[in-house]
Amino acid sequence: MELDIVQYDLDEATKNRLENVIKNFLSKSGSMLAVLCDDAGRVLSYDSRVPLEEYKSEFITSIVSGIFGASLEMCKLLELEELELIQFEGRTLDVIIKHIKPRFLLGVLVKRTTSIGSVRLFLKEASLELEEILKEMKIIPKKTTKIDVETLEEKLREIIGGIE
Amino acid sequence: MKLKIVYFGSSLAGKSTNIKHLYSILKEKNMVKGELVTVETEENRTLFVEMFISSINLFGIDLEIKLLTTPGQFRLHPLRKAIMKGVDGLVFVVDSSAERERINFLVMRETAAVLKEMGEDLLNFPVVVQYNKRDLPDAMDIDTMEMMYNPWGTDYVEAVAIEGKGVLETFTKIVKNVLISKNAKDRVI
Repeated sequence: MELDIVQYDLDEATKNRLENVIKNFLSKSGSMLAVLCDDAGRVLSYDSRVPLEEYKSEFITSIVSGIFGASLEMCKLLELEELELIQFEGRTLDVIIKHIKPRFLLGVLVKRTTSIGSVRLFLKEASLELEEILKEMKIIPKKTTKIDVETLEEKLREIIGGIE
Repeated sequence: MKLKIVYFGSSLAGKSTNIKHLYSILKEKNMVKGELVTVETEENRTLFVEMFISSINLFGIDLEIKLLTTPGQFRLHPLRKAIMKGVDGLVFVVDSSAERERINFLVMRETAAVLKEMGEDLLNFPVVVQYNKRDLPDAMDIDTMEMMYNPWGTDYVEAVAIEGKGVLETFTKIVKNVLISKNAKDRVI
């Protein structure tokens, strides 16, 4: 059996537009961190005022999608309507997670000293912009390779090991 | 290419042990990004998730594989559903102890229901079955377990995860199965 292994990515124009919206939101709202991900927790874009390695943003979005997903489950159990936004308070930071249609999430970290009202206002504005961009989002093949299953197995054995 | 692989199975089947050992092995091979993240209860049981990211370059394609466990305890079922969202491949960790025969089966049935709710069919999903705790005196025989826990007829691995046995093999096989499932022209798996 032959495989076409394709690495897909967002097109550059969409990436740039998402980045701009997140950057603007961060600067206008005074938030510490904003991460945009899909509902499975895969990062689409993020910006942060504190140093944040890329892999950490992946962990954060996994937790963001998990928390939001768990809250949705709670709503189902209680027969409440679906959530648009959840917010919880830490000692020094507030966390806000906003649903972005159709299946995305924006996680935001805000210092307790920042006005939460204005953050929510800018968040609403950013959400609408993100929804517009994501509606037109294109995914393009970035790299492609053709291999058969035997070669794939051999290569995985060579790189990772574990198979005799 | 970003992949999400989830280890599921009954409570105390060895999901966390698998992930912890795998993290150490892959870290030595410089195939992880960052740390292992654990959200545990005070009794060191998985409350929410354990996860890490493995990074592999395969034929010039960057694979970023996020590995997660689901909490095994039944009371945490809603969290399991949240973690399963968007999963690309599953490792079913089966406790080989005869005492756990029924609970293994219940977890498999419940996972099928979760995937169905997400519009997926467990039987058409890339899976590897790991028969863990093969060193137990009451371990069931493989043929019986294959009949009970491998309706896919997919790859299985015999493991003693606490000693690291079978951990890497399981990972390699699930990566292979996910790549075949996502990229095969005729999609036979």
